[in-house]
Amino acid sequence: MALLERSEWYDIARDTNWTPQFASEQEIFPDEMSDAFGLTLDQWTAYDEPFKVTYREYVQVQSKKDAGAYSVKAALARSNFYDNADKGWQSILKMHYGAVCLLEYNAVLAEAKMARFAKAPGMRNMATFGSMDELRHAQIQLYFAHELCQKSRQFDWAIKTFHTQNWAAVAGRSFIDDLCMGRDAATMSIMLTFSLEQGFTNLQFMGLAADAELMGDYTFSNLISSVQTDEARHSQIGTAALRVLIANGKKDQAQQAIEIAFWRAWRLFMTLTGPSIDYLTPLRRRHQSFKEFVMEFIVAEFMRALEDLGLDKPWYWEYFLDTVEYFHHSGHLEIWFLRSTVWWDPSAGVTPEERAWLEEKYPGWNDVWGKLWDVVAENARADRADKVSPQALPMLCNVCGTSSGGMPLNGFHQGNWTDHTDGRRYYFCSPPCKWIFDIAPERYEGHNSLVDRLLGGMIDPGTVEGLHQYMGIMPGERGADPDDYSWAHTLTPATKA
Amino acid sequence: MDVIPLVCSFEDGCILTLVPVSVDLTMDEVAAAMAEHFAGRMLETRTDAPMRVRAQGEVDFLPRDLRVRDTGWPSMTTIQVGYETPVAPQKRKAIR
Repeated sequence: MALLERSEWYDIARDTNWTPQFASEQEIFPDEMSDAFGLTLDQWTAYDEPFKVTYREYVQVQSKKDAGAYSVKAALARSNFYDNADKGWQSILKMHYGAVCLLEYNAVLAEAKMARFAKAPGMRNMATFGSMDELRHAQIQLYFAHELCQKSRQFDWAIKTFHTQNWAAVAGRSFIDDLCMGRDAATMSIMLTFSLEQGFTNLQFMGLAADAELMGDYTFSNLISSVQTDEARHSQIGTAALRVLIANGKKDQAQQAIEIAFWRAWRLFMTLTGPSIDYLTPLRRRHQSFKEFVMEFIVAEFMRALEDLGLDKPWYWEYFLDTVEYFHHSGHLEIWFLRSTVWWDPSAGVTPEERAWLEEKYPGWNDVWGKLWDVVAENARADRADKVSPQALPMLCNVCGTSSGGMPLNGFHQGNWTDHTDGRRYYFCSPPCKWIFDIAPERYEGHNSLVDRLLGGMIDPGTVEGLHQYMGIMPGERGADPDDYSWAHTLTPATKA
Repeated sequence: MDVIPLVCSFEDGCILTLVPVSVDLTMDEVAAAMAEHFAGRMLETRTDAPMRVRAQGEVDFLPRDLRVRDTGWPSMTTIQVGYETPVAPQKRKAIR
């Protein structure tokens, strides 16, 4: 018997839809789990996923990807790459594994929720594969990180981070809960796969894989490429959902969902990826600044995706572009000061050569951020330990969990937007975070930032050591300046760029 | 000694910081307490002008001998700590 072409049977086979007889549509697909937009099953039948994949094809492709990544890892196991790698790159690996592994596991649950509750059979099908993708991403990255635990205890944070009250973990959990766990399948498809994956992580992983290859870290490069190719497929789930929603008059609601998720993703992206690209990546291996990356990939690609769908720029677009100039410089300085609270060792990244590169990429950097680092360097050279470590907490946003950042030497530029609800005062790092809160205060008002917890007596003693204990970051895991301030000695007044 | 946490926005700084202070402090003492976390740490210390305090959103600085307890500030009030003589705008260079 001749086999049918895939196109001849695919749509029938994946349309595991039926007309419910023993339960209502609402009981099977409750709005709060399936579709806050209120479209019917019939309306969702128009969903047409751009990637057509069968289970047989999926397994074949995935097994090859796994075999490729694991075999490269095995082949290079004796290369001692990690031991000889630049400290900045070692920090990027630590940061990546700690931040990403269990975020991927949360994405398993998110995709599984879509696989069960999405009203569109095509979306359920894609999300089933997506859920298996994310499970592979969580497992393979945990496996790769595990081997490195013998090199540094900080790699233990690959699995530990999300089980702690570390400030970054609190922010990360809040983020993924807001985009995924606390949303219906249709909204989640927009927030997770369109705004986050298509808008950020798919492109970010392409860049990270390329950076790893430039570094000579072929193990990590292969790993990330393997993950990214999955991401490129399942990040299309949301685009197809948006077409259905827009066709059925839900453009404004869809636009709002995109804008909420894009902003929340940007806040975390700039906090972690921005410093990685501009400060931690070894200078000789840098091929692009964070700003260039954002403008070329995030801005251009995301704008094109919005235009293709007939959607608008987010209302905060000009503000967003403005923050590309300074958020991550501020974030890097702050994380360097707060380094004992993170599981990686943030390099300062401001030697004269690095400052010259920063000045080229961000004209005026030396007159603004350079002046701040001059003061830090002077304290580091003089061994003033109390001046190069935090004595107080930064304010943390009640939506995104990160601190507000401003352009220094610019008056009172650092932002602080407040709101009152039920007698409690909330703090926001930016107008978009306040906007997100105001759309649905009930989603966020019960959440306590680290600052709220400190003031509420949940962190006892309320000291730096008490904070370390509360966050579960033990001696040996706490970040330190990996260069032991040697960079500061390159910045004598005569050598400043 | 009663202490309240204040949120400090320090002139020319880039990070909002939570700083607990005694309600017995005068505005001059508050400014000095806040400066500990900015001036000489990541900003150059300025000695050419006294530091002043105002609540965020206000234009006028508060009297230097006013005490925290007499301001009526609730906990977590955001204050701005700046210099009486601002830096000339032409000395400020934004990255563009």
